[in-house]
Amino acid sequence: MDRNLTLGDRLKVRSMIYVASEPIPRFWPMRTFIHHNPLFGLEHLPFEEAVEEGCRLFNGRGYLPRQHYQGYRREGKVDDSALRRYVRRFVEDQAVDLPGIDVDAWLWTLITECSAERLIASHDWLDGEALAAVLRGRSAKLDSRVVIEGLHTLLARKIAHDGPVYANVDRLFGTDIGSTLNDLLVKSCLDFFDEGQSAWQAPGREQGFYFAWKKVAWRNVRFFLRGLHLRELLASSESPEGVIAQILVLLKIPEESWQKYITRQLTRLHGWAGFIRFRSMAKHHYWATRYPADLTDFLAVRMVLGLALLQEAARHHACPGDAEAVQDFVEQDPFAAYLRLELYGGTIMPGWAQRVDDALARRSQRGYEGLALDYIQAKLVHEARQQAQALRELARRVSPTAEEALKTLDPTQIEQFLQILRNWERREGFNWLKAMESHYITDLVRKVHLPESKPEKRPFAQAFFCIDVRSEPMRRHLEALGDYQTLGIAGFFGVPIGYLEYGKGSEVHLCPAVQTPRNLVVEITVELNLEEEPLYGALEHVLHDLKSSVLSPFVAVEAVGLLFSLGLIGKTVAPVTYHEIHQRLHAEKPSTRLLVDKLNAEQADSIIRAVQRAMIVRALGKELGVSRDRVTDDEVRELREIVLGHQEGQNSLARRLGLAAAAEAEFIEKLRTVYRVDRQETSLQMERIGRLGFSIDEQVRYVSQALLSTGLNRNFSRFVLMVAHESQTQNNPYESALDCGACGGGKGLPNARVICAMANKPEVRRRLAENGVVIPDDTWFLPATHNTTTDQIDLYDLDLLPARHLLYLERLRNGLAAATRRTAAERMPTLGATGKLAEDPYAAAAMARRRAHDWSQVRPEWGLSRNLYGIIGGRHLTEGVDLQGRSFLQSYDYRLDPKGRFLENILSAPVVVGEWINLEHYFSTVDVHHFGSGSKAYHNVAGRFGVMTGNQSDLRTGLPIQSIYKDGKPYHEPVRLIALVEAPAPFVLAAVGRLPKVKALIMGGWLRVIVLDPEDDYRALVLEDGEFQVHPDSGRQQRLTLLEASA
Amino acid sequence: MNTLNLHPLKKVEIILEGAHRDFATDLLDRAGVKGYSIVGNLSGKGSHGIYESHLMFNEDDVLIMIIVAVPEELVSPILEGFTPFFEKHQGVMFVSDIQVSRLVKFKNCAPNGRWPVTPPS
Amino acid sequence: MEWIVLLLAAVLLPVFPLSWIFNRLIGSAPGPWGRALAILVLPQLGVLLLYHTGPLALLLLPLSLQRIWLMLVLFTSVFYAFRAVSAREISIWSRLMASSGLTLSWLLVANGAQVHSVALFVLALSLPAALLMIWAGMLSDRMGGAYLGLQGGLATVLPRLSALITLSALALVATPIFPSFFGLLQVFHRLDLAWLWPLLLLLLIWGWSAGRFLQDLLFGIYRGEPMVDLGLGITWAGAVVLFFFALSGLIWSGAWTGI
Repeated sequence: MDRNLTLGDRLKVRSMIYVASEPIPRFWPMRTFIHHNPLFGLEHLPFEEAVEEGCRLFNGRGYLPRQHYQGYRREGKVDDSALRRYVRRFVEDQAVDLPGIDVDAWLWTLITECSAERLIASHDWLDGEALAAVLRGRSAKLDSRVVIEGLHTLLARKIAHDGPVYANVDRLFGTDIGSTLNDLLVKSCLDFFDEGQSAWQAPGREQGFYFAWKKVAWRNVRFFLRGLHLRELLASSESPEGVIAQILVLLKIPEESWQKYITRQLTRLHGWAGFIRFRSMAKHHYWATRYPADLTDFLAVRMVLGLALLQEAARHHACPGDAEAVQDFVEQDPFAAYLRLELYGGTIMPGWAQRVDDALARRSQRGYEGLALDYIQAKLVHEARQQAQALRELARRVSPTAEEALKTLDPTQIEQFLQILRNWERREGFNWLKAMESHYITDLVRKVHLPESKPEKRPFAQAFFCIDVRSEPMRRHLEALGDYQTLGIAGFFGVPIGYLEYGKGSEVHLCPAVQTPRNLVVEITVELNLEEEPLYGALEHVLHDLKSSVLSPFVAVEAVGLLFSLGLIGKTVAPVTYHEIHQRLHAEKPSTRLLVDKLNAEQADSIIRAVQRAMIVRALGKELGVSRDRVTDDEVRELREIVLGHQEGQNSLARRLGLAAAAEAEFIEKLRTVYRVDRQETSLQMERIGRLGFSIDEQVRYVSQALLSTGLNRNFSRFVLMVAHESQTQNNPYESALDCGACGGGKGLPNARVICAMANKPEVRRRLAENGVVIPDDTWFLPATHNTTTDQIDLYDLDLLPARHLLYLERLRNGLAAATRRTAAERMPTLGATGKLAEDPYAAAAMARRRAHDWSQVRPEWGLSRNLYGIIGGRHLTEGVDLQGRSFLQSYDYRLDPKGRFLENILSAPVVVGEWINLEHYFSTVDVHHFGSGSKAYHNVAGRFGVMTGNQSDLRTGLPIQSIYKDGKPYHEPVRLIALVEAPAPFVLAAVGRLPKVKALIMGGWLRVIVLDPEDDYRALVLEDGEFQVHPDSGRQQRLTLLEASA
Repeated sequence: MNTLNLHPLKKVEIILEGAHRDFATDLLDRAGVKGYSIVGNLSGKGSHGIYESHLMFNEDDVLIMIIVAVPEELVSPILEGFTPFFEKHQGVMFVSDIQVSRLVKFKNCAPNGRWPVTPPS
Repeated sequence: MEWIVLLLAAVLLPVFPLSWIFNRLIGSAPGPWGRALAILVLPQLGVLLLYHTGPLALLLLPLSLQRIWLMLVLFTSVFYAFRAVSAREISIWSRLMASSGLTLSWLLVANGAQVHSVALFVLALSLPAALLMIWAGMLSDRMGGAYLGLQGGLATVLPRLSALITLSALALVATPIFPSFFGLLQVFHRLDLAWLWPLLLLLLIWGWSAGRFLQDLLFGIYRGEPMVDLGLGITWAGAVVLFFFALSGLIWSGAWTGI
C-alpha cells in the first residue's frame, strides 16, 4: 500500500503510457479535419498484420462481411482467377491430405455461396469427436475428464490474469462498471476540455487536467452519492504517475503486465485519448497552452474512477477487488465461474438462462457442478448440431457426394478440416480485397490511353485543379467543351502559407498538415475603414450572445424568440432565398489584395508608423473625445515620438486642449499598455512583418516548381486558371472534411491568389525565362475556386486582369458555367435525383445549389467517397476516359524531372495524403461503428472540437455512415489506393528508395503501385507480393495485338 | 594559475528516431536534468538494417542523438524510464564516465515539474 | 364461511402471501397457451367467486380488518412490481406484473364497484399478460428461450414479433388508451387521498420496469443467427386483438370514470 515510488518508477510509467498511446488513431479537431489512416500507429507492420492487430486493439473488423463481397462478385468487380489462385496457394500451404475431400472445391463454394458470415463459429466445447458423432447421426457425448481440463483453459482465456480487473468483474458478476466508468470519465473530459462551447467553465483548469479534476472530485457530491470514496485514493500520491503506479500495485497486477494493462485502458476510449494526445503535442493550440493536459492525467483519472467503482461493487456484490482475488475466485469454483461467464456475457443458450439465473441468485455452494455439467452437455450438443447443419448445407452445394465423404472422416481428420476452414476464414477478407484490387488494376491498365503524337495547338485556357477526386468530372467536362487543357496539382499549389484574413485575428496554416509554413500572407482591403461596424452585423452579434446567457430563457424568449423563428422557417422552407437575403443584409466584403512581396525595412517601418498613428487617433477619439478633424498630423507625430520615448516634454496637443499633466501622463500610459504603442511591441511587429511575403527568389522557385512538376513549361494559353477548391455546407460538423485536405482542411483560394500574383509578376517571368520557361506576354494567371458542392467555378481578382483579356472573359465564363452544369448533371443522380435530371443540366445545378444551402441535409455531397485510383503522369493517359470521379489526378512529366526531385515530392506528399484519405474511407466503410463515427443523426458537438454520439460518449473519429453508405449498403468500395506512376521503372524505384517512409508503406502493402514505363513500350509493372510483375494486358504491342484480335 | 577542479559525472547518450524527440526531452526534463544537447541527421546501421539520413518532408524519420550529463543518482532512473520505450522502438543508450569543470551547470536543483525531489531508493 | 371464500379469492386475485400459489399455478401450466389461458381464467374465477357466493365477503369484515387487507393488497402490488423489475424472462415478467395489477381489483371491490366493472378491470390486466405469454412462447420457439438482455436489437431481426410484444407490454403497464389505464384511473378515483402515494409509487415502478424491459428487447445491434419472423396471419390476429382492446378502452373509459 505504501510503496515508495522512485523517480525511476514514475518515469517508467510515463514511458509506458507513451508507448501505449502510439497505436491510437490520430485526432485533429473538427475545424481542421484531416483525413488520416486510423491505423497510422501500426503502419510499421504489413497491412494484413496491422489490420489484425488493429481489430484486436479497437474491437473492430477489418474487412466487410462475406455477403458484401459476394455482391461485388455478382456485379463483376472481383477477379475470379486471382481468387482461385489465392485459394490454391492457401491449400498448398496447409499441406493436409483429407481422403475424399476436395478442399479447393469446398473453399470455393464457401466463398461464393455461403451466405452466413462465418461458417465455423467460435466454439467453447466442440471437438472432432463430437462433430464426427453428430455427422454420423449419433449423439455427442461429453467426457467429464476432458471437461475439467477444457474448463480451465477456457477460463484462463476469457478471464485473462492480465486483463483489466473491472472488465473481468463485469464478466463474472454482470455489474456495469465498464460503461459507468466510461460515462464518468467522458463527463470529466467534457468539463475540462471545453473550448468555449459552454457558458459556465470548469474551475482551476490552469493547473492541468489531473489536478483540476482532483480538486473537484474531492468535493463531488455525485460521486459521493454513488458510493465512490475517492479521498483516500487521491491522497495516496501527489503526481498522476504516482497514483497510477499505486493503483496498479493495489490491483496486484504483475509488473510485466503493466504495459499491456495501460494499453488496454487507453484504447478503450480511443477518441478521447487521441484528442488528448493531439492536444498535448500541439504547441500552438491556444487551449492547450492555457489548460494543459496529457495522457498521463487521463489515465490517472480513469484508474482512480475505475478502482473506486470496483470497490463500490465489491461492497455491494461481494465480488473480488483485485486481480489475484479474481483468479482465486475462478479457481475455487470453476463451474460457477463458467456459468456466470455465460450468463453475464450473453453467450448462454436462452433456454437455460432462467435456470442459471435462479441458481446463481440462490448463492448456494452446492449444485453448481451438476448444473454446469448438464449445461455443458447441452451446449456441446447445440454447438455440434449447429456446426454439422452448416457443414451439411455447404456440402450439398459442393457436390452430391461431399456429404458422404464428410461422414467417412474420422475425428482427427474432422478436426483438421475444421482447422483448415477456420484458418481460411480468418484470412478470407484479405483475399477478397486482393481479388477486387486485381480487377480494378486490370481495368485501369486497359483504360489508360497510350500517348500518340498530336499536333500542338494553343489551348484557349489552361486550368490547374487540385488532385482531389472531385476535380476529375469537372476536368473531363471542361475538356470536352473545347480547347481547354487541365492539369492536376496539390490543392495548395505547392505554396505553403500562413494566411491572415481581413477581419480575422489569427493566422491559418494553408498547407498539408505535416508542414509548417514559413511565410505569412496578409489580406488588405482596398477601402480601409476602422470606424464603422455595420448595424446588422452588430445586432446579430447581440442576438447570438443572448443565446448563451443563463437568464435569457426566462426573459427573452417571448420577446426575441420570434426573430429566431424567422431564421428557422426561412432556412428550412426556402434555404437558397433565405441565404441570398441574409447575404444582402450583411456588409459586403470589400475588395482586397494580398500582400505577396516581401517588404524591405523602410516599407515595414512606414507601415508600423501608419498603424501606430491610426491607433493614436483612435485613442484620442475614444479616451479624450477628440475627433480626427481637431488634430493635425504634426501633433500626432509628436505624440507618437513621446509615447515611444524618443522625445520628452509636454506635447502641443495637450497644451492646446488644456490637459492637466496627470491626465496627459495617464493617457500616454494607456497608449503604451492598452493600445500597444511602445518600443517592444514595435520590434515584435517588425519581426512579424519580416515573415510577410516571399522574396523574389522564393517566388521564382515556387512558380517554377508548380509549372515544371506538372509538366507545363511551354505552349501557355491566354488564361491559366489556378482553381482551388472548397465546399459549402450548412450545419455540418464535418464541413472541413469536405474542404481541401492539402490546405489543412481549409479553402485553397488564398494559395491560388498568391501563386497567380507571383506568376504574373514581370520580374518573376523574366527570371523564369532565364531558366528556360518562357511565358508569353499575353498569358495571365487567374485565381478561381471550384465549389465542390455546387460545382460552381468562380473567378477572382478580375480587377487585376489586363484590358485585352476582358474580351475573352465572356467565352471563358460561358465555358466554365457549361462545365458546371454538366458536372452537376452527372453528379446529382448519385445523390438521389431521378435519371431525368441528368438530361437537364440547369435543374441539376439548381438542385446542387439547394443542397449546399440546406441545413437539414446530411449528405450535401459525396465528398471523396469511392476514391480508388491515384494517377501520376500526363493527362494524355486519361483524357476523355470516364473515371467516374474516382481518381486522384496529379500531372507529372518525368522528362522535366531529371533528378527525380519532383517525383520525390509527389510521392512523399500527395501520395501519402491520398493513402490516408483512402484508408480512412476504407476503415470507416468496413466498420462504421468502431472506425467510423456512426450515424450523423445522433451526433452532438463536444466542446467545439469533436463529435459524440448521443449526449455523452467517446469522441467519434472517422467518417459518418451518411458519407460512405447509401441505403444501408456501402457506397464507397473499400479497396486500397491504386497508384499509377508514368515514369521509367528504375527511375521510380530509385526515387522510392530514397524515401524510407514511402518505401515502407509501399512494401507493407498499404497502397498498390503500378509503374507504367514509357521507355519500355508502356508496359505496366504491378507490385504484387513484394515483386513487380508485368501485366499481361499492357504494352503497346500487346494492345495492338488485342485490337487486331478483336477486329 | 589555479588548477582546474574536475568533477566526475555520467554521460548518457540516447540515439532514437527523431519523431520521439519531444517525448525524450520531456522525460529528461521530468527526471530533473538541467540541460541536454541534440545532434541530428544521424545515419548508421542497426539490428533493423542500414539507416540513411535523408531529410524528408518532415523531420520525423531521421535519427537523432541526445547527449545529457547527469549526476550518478539520476542514471538508473533515466535508464529505467526509457526501458519500456526501447522495448518497442529502435535505438540505444550509452552511459559513460566523464568529468566536468563547472559542476553547477549539471547538478540539479528542483526540476521544473510538479514532483518534489525525492531521494532515490 | 366468508373466510374460505376470501382465502380462495385471495389466491385467484393474488394477495400476498397467497399470491405465491397463484404464481405457481400459472408458472406450472403446460405450454404458453396453457399459461395464457390460466392467467385469463383464474382471476375471472376469483371475481365470480367473490360476487356470486352471497354478499360480498370482504365487506362483511370489520373495518379495521378491511383496512389491513387493503394495505396488504397495496404491499403485494408494490412487491411484485419490484420483483418484476429484475425479471428478464418475458413470461415471468408478465406473470409478476399481472399479479401486481390484478391485486388492485380488491380496491375496487372494497369501494363497492359492480361485478362487471371488476371483471372488466381484471380482464384489462390479464389479457395483455396472456398475450405476452403467447408471444413469449413464439420467441422461445425461435431463440430457445424468451430471456431478454442476451441479444440486443431484436427489433431489427424480428420486427413484427417485437412490435406485438412491445404493444402488449405497454398495455400491461397501464399506458393510456389501453383499458388498464382507465381501470387504474377508476381505482384512483375511488380512493381517498391518504392511499394514493403507494399507487403513485406503483406507477413509477411500472414505468421503470417497462422501460428496462423494452430496452433489453429493442435496442442494440443484433449479432446472432438470422431468425424467421412471425407469419402474416398471426401478426394480423394479434394486431386486431390489440386494436379492439385499445378501442374498448376508449369506449368504456367514459363508463368507468364517469366522464
